[in-house]
Amino acid sequence: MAKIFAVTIILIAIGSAIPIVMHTWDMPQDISTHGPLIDEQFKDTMLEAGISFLASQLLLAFFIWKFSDPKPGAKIKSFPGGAAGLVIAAFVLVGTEVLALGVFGAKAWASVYFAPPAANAMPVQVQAGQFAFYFRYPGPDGKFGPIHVDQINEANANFFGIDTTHDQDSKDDIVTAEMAIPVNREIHLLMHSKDVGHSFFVPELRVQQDFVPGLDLSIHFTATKVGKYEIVCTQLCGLGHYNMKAYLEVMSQEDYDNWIKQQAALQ
Amino acid sequence: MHDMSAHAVQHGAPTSFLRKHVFSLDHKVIGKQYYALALVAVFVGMFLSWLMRIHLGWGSFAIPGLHLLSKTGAPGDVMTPEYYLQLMTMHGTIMVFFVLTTAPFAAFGNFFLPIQVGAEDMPFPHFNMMSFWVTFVAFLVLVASFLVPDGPTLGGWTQYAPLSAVGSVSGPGQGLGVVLWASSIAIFCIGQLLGSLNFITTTLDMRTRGMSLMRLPLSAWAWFITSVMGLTAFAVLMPACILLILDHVAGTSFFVPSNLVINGQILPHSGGSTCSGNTCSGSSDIPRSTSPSSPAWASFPTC
Repeated sequence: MAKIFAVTIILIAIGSAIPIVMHTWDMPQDISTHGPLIDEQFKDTMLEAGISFLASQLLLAFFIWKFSDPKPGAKIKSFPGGAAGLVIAAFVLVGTEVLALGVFGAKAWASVYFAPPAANAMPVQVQAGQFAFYFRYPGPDGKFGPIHVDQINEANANFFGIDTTHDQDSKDDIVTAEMAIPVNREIHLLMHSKDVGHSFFVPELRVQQDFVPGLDLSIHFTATKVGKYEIVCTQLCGLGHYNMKAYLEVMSQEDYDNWIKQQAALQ
Repeated sequence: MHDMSAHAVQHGAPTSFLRKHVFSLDHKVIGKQYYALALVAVFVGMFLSWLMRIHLGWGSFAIPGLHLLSKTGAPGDVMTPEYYLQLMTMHGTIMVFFVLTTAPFAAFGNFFLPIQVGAEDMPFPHFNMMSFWVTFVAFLVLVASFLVPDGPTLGGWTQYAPLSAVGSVSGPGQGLGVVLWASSIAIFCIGQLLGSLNFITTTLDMRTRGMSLMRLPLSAWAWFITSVMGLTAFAVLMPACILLILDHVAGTSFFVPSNLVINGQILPHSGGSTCSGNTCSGSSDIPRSTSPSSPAWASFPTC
């Protein structure tokens, strides 16, 4: 019975490693400049965790097999002087591994999130609300007008509470329900939530950042491939959360210029 | 290291049915009671996951009798998407708190820890009895949220603010449902704090002669470490739940910042912080998610 258990452990361990090694469920294509860093970190974590998992399961199966059929009257063996040395070695080995993953992971994360955006990065404001994203472009003046919460009115499509009568900076702002950006241009995304917590997740961009109500956050990224990608909310935000999404269209600079002109004309 | 003979027996043999089977002071009976509670909870949680799976597979399928659970959540016995979220939240809460924490930690720990360290019983048997009954009440309060008009909360078992703090304006079950959820978890925390106190004292002060800390079985170590983590985590989670309840019933704004607009209305709250709420919740998330498993890991070598 114990030997069947040992073989089952080996089969499960190897069976679960096969799809990882064969890349059966791989991550979506990467379309960002910072993506390789993130992917590298994922691969390192998977490799180290995978080796530890396989080694420990195979060792477990080996011991179960080896000691499954003890001879009657056989002496119980124990480590001379106790197993303290082995325990310390395991602690040091696993501790070093976890610490190394943490240090390298923090470095990769900091290089994405703590580095400031370039001075010429294109600002786009995104507002999340139950259950839609809206995007605002600053127009030719390059400045966003302030958000007046008392003027937010979805019925009048004033999603950002823009007051064009009094705010000079708001007059040329362009509000859209879809996000379009030029390829190979750094984007500085200013994030604001009007109600509860949401998240901005574009798997292909390797970007996932929560909106925190009362706290305006920003992220920056550069998309490297033209295409249409889904932006989804990944923070449970209420009854319509399952349906909260928008699209990110990465365009050539020329297409983007035409698109923004069309959107400006629609305001 | 202590000599058990130095400790007086904490309680005599039970003399009545109630003392023996219901309000027992015996750690083994209390362990079994916790295990029974975890079993009931796992069946409730499992039933909810069946309903959720049916909805995921066949969204418009009418589940006979579901309207009895909620008229608004299942009109014509067909589950609405928001009722799915409510069931998911209850499933997660029941499984994490009343199964994963209760069974490996409270149930097996109560039963086995004194035996493994050579103690006659826990040092505070009345606290031990209270910890179970308080947890039982917490479970009843949580399940009671199925019976309120809007049904249980839909905010997920992590209950991140401000979704959990702004009230029914943010969705069905976000009013009274959240208040009952937070009350249940606050009560649950009291039970766990009492239990942790007993576990820590048993491990440190009730070990029999010769049972040094380095000779403790791995499972005893796991329950001890889990208790220390629980003491710190639940001591944070309980006040967080109380503050969340105050945000609902007393008009405070602990977890609601200024200028939130929901359904076209500016909320009257101001000055709160979502981060403080989520840090309180998050600080207990990690011990909560690791604490149930640590005794489970440790139980393998002892089996």
